[in-house]
Amino acid sequence: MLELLKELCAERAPSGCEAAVAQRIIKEIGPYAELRTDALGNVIAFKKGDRPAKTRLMLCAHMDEVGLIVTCITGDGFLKFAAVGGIDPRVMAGRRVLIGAGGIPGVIGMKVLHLLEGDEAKTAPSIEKLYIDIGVATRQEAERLVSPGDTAVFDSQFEEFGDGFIKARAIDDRIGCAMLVQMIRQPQPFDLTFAFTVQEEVGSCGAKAATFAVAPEAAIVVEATTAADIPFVVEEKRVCFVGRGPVVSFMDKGTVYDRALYRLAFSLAEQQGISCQPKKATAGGNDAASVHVSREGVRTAAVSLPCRYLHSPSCVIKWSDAEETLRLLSALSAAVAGGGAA
Amino acid sequence: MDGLKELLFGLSRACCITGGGEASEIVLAELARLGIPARTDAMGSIIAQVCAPLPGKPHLLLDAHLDEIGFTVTSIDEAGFLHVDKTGGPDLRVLAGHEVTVCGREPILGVFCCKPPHLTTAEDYKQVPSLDESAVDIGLGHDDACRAVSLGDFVFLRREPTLLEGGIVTGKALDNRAGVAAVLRTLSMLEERHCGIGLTALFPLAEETGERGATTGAFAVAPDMAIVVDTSFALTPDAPAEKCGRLGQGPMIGIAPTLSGEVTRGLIDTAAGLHIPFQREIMAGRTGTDADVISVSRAGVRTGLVSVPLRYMHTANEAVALEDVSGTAALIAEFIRKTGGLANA
Repeated sequence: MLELLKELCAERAPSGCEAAVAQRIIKEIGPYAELRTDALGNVIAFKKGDRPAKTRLMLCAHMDEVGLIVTCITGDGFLKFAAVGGIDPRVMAGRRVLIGAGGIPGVIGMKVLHLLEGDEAKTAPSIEKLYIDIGVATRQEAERLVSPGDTAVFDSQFEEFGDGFIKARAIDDRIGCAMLVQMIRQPQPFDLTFAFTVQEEVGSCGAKAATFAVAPEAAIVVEATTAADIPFVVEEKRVCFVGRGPVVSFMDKGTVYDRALYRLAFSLAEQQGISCQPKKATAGGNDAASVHVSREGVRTAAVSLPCRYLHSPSCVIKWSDAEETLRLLSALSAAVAGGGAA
Repeated sequence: MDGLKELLFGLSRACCITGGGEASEIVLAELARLGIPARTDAMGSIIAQVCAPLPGKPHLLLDAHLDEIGFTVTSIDEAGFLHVDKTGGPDLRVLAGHEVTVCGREPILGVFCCKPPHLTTAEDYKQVPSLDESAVDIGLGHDDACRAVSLGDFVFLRREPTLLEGGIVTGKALDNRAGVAAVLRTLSMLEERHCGIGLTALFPLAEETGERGATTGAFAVAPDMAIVVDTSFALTPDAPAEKCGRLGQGPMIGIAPTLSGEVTRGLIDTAAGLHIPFQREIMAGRTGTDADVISVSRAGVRTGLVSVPLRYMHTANEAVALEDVSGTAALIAEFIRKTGGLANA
């Protein structure tokens, strides 16, 4: 699963450009499930289990990542851009990016430190003050390489470090995709439907269509969620902790989660000796916002991996959390699909 | 330009702050390849005697500082995060989520912590993080972190160099590895190192923390003339044009009250004579480079300054044009030949 995560993180796929990740996933799960790709690019996979499900359950993870989109090319060949998804402009300053299908390298430029005046030195540049420099001097030269509408991702390699830690771009939510692929590759006790969704970062758009099509009775959204267990964050704002296993949410900005499913996750974790932690904040949101209000409503849970520095080039997770999360997902999906949450 | 890109990439990748580092090894290896004897002084600066001083001929010092900006570990907290202070003047606006190399027992990856957007407000987005509120995550608990890293260890911005379109190299530490590469290229261009003058190359450390390596290095070498090779600002859309050179338009020859008019005119005449593109960098007082200390070393040294135009100084996005590096090398090599040919006392 680690190798798969590495390969998925290598694909450049901001919202709207998920095809490369979709193809990679289809290649992995093709032999194990019935697949289709819908009008928006969502990949929906039906995995036959040992027995038919008593409750129709959908698990989903999104394929897209946050990134940038080129909005215009200046006369001097610099690129202005906007953020696709929510990105703090302070993590853009000083970064290198890869643009378009060809992965053209560029650097995110801003006024040099030594020439800042007055308050400029104390103020982080807003996105309007940033631009991408691809090393050309004219608009014509730039247009040979890139176009307005091209998307870009941060240039950040997948690396293992520390005590079982991983740093990479796009862990949100390629880790979710990797875990669902792993579940599809393994025998399952009950039938399950999986949705690999598009456009989560720009408003959970893909999940609306996928959930309508699948029409599940229950759903588990599999994500990476923000861990703020870092210095200078007070205890009560730390949200969740890397190394303490999967994070189960009771509420966030988009969803108040099904309380019975929330409790079921913790009781299964306790029974089976899986580490598990609550998400101790109502911050953020994910595909559940779209999933749980589909049709006449869907009972929904969110099970996530704790991830530091979300929406930055350097997302950091601990691999042992992925293994524990997969165990919880297997237990929870078997329990729900088997009618245990009725 | 053969091999210049590879040399510059290797120098950019290497880490080096006060005290030395891998960049020193690359320079020493290149000097050895050129058959130039070199030594390292008490400050870690490299002094290479290219041509022994000749009676009645000037002794020229070529200076290009080898150190880069970075950070030093000041403490390790109970959760294993590193707290750091700056060495030189890194641009703090880039720290949030930036990858670093921590030169502990082994070089290891670290990440400057940042709060996720879900926990920040629009007001927070305008705040430049201070080092007092920053920490480096190395993915280790306290005890393991203390085994892997010691207080005082150096921390560098981590970035693999790459080539952009148009022969632009981007990466960390091009201030001043571009200058170092230019000087090494100059030395390789002097045929069999017959210069007609005494010539010593100095690659000092600690420029970024107060030009200290150049202070002691210049004293040791005791030259008559010097050319300092550094980097200076290249124009970007948001910078004042009168304070910047431009990428791709050649070496920036410094003109300043504290630089030698004779050496400066000599550099300009050499560039014009060679028909190579060059630019003028006008400064109104001191230069902010090793020239400031070399020119007042001992009883004074006639000093000039040539800079490679560079964008995004003191971030890992620094960018220079390869042709400007080679143009700088060609200019200095020709200046040396001309100065040698003059055969004056």
